[in-house]
Amino acid sequence: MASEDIWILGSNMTKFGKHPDEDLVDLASEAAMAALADAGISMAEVGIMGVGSLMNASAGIGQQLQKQIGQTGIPVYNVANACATGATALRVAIMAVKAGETDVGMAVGVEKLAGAGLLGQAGRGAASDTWEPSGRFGAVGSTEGRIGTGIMPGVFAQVGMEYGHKYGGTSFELFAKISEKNHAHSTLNPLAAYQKRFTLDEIMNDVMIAYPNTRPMCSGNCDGAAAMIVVSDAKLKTLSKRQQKHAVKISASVLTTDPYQEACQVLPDVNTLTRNAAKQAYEQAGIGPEDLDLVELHDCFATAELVHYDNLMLCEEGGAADFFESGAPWRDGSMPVNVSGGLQSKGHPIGATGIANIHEVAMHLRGDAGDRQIKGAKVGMAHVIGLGSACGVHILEKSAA
Amino acid sequence: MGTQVPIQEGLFTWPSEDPRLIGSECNQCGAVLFPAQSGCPKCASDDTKHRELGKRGSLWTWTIQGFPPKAPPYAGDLENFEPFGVGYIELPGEVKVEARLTTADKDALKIGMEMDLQFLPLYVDDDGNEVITFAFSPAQEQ
Ligand SMILES: [Zn+2]
Repeated sequence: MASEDIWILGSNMTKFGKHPDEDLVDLASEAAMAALADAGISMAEVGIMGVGSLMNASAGIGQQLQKQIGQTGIPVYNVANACATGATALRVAIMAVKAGETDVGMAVGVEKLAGAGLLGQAGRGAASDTWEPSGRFGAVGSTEGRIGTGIMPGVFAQVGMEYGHKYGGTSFELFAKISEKNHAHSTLNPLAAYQKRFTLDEIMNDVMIAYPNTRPMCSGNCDGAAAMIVVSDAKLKTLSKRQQKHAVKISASVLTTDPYQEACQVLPDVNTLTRNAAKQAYEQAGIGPEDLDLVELHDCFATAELVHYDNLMLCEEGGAADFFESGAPWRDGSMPVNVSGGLQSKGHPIGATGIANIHEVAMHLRGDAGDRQIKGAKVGMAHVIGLGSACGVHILEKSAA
Repeated sequence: MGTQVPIQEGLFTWPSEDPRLIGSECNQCGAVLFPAQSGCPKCASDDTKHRELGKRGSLWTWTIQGFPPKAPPYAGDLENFEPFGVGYIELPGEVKVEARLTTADKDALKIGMEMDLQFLPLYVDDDGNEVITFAFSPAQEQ
């Protein structure tokens, strides 16, 4: 595929966590202004905005944001795509630049969920990210919901159980160890919502949400925003040496949905579309998993992280348990995964998540990741999945300049 | 005491001698779906017919729902909530069906075990009717 390269020129995420004194627009503005400053450009140069805020998908957050940071009359696309909302907003900006409609695009993702507890918790918490089919499949959704199934923690618990049965090597303790890793990683990330290290015992003895995931093994609802400025290759060439050196190449940008599978109407199959997205992304980037220096993947539950090792082809098919046990995905391992702390510890403000994980990878490639820097990182991958389903995979490469 | 009513019309043939789940089958490509629907997601045809599904399958995956689901849509008793089993039952040659399980004991559930269709009361509605849903239980003989 002959297409001009697209570059991340500026990027920012707010601290994830509780922001009781800031509303959605405040948070989005903070990230957007900081991303512009990081890029070294002004709002006047931005030609398109993709904006995602899942819980407020019909509120026109993009236009509200413009009233804070500059009403320049550019097209704004407010998007919603479950947990892949942020990645979808970024895809909109990338596609517009690729299509030649503009040379500079901005993507912003924002959510306010603090107080809703961990994603797995009852009532308010679960409500924020429940898979709720409607329309044509309304009969399925309403029935399932009424008998108490089709809910995120339950879905991902079952995904992990099925993987364990198919390939062996998994146990409650193994899943808990994945969570132990991510919580340990987050102690180095000042932007994470939680920076508390948990012992394996603490994780295993916490409240059981949906076997085998206990509360710390579920992603945390919190507030946060992330924003990114993308530019065309032609535009980058007109910018300063400093900006060129600072830019991170988007080597692959992919979004997939479910292909038809038996029973996929009732079972959110998180594997097939992720595997398809990864395959397409490796092809686009012209690299393989062995070339990756770090991965941020969608660990909405500890069980999800395990299956995505396999889906993203970080290990041999069926080898996810061995891959984890080898120590590979720890930050000092051969394939660091979720050095940010992941959704379980960094937090999961849904609309922001799909941009924040790309931001994390970009910071490592720039050498700007502070205490948690993966030394010498040149290539990285970011993955998100929203139930229903939508999967985004991006591969980034360090600037050659 | 009111009467017994199904949680949703068109979902299963209960009450009857031998109640079954009502799915659909595509006349063009043979895809089987549950619940029944008029269009086919596999081949995009709109030529489907109703099909009563088998009542024995194998446990494909499962979990135990440890907290009360969001209500609505959840219709079960929240005040006296007890963790319950949830899983997918693979009906051979047909479709995987998500269902409540009659047990919430993790040691009683093994992926691959035979499971049988059951009908049980889920809650009592405002009119005093006992609302019936489908569920699967481990088969007597494994
Ligand atoms: Zn068909």
